[in-house]
Amino acid sequence: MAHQSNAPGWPLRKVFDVAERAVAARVEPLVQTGGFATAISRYVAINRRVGRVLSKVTGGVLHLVNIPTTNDVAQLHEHLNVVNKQLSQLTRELGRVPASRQEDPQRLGTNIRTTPKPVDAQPSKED
Amino acid sequence: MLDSARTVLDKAKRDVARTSLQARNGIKHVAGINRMQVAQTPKEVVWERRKSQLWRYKSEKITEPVPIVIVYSLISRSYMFDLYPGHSFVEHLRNMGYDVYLLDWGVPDQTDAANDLEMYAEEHLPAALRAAQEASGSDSVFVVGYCFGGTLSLLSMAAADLAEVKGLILMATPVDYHKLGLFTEILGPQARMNPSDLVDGTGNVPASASRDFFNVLKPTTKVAASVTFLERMWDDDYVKGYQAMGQWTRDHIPFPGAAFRQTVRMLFRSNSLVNNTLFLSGRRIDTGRVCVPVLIVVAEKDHIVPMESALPAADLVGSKDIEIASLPFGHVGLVMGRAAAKQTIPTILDWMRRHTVTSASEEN
Repeated sequence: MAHQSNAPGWPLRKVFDVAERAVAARVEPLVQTGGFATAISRYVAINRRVGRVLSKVTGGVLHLVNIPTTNDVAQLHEHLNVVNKQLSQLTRELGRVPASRQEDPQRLGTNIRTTPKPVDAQPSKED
Repeated sequence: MLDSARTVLDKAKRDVARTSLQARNGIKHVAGINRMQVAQTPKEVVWERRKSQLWRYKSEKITEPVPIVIVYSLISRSYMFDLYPGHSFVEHLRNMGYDVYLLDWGVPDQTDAANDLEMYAEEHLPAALRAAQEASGSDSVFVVGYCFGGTLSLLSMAAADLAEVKGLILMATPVDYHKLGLFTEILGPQARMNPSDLVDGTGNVPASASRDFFNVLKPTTKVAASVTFLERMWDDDYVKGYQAMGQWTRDHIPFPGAAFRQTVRMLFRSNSLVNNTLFLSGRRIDTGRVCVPVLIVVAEKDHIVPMESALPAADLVGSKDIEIASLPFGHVGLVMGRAAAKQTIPTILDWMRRHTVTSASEEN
């Protein structure tokens, strides 16, 4: 990590570099150990649990006065995401169907719209 | 005697000048004035789907027949490839006559929590490559995958028949997920951490988590960089670089929850790329299907993706034309800064030119 410079620099720079190298040489291998990984994992897990408890409590208070919480919004998003995912899967599967079969929607066993797109539909950004 | 007096005087003059520059730049830095603007190379969006966009960097002197598509990772900002003028990977490639594209995945939010690897590797990436091919009018493209972007490129090419890819360049790309040091210890087969513990209320892994994990790998780097900055604050160019780099290292983005859970389950726990047991959309993905020429670029001082994690890519692909370039940089230095301009880019350009010439002569 030490910076090599031909500029005059600070008189204490060499001292800092020596100290930094010494610390880095000891700390860097330490963070790669299983013990450190376990410590970090436990810290994250505890943090997460505390967060859940806190959000449950604040959520309960907000529900008392009929205000939706971030969890409610997150759940709605989750539902939308599931629908989105299913659409993506369908798109992918359609993409794999040979062009000759795509010409005959009845053979695919799915209800593919053949009428024009409604005028009030949002224009697609997809190409 | 007179000479040494002059030397002392010159040194004093230089020190005074530097001190005043240091004060000026220090005030500017603290006040946030004249910050270096990143991602300045002019570009246009040629394709988009959801938040993914394919950018084409504008150029009036395209001389190379095969365009380049850069595929970036999912966890940080893609402007690392276009830091600032004179220090921009894409600007260098563009100046060498290439038509350069970059696939940016956007910044995920709650609506993207269900984005999975299938969406990126089987939908967006192939569509973006086709869009690049159409926009350039070329028969084929070179794909440059960096870090996790390389993994996605590999998955994409193994999953779909991408006839438009002429060659694949994997830069600092992890394939052996059991050789990723701290990440393997935490997310690997020992299952020390439950991936759901990292996912926040939006359903994604927050940007701060990625940033903290990267910072902890080199705990003294930040302090050393700050000391160097204080020392070289008189140097305008250094200050620009420090600010741009500092911005990028702080500027991570959330990792979509579904893709993260898949990455942990399939790559970190089962190491399924190396074991050839990876499934996408219920189908087994065989990287042996990747038969185009492959260049594997590894960074010898990479503390994020060590060489032993990246090199097995050579054994996984089915290509008979594989080259490995080992460069004496770190993970970021491979694409940023002067070293990238002097070594990484010439290495890539040389490989691409040889493979463009080879295929041109084969066609004749």
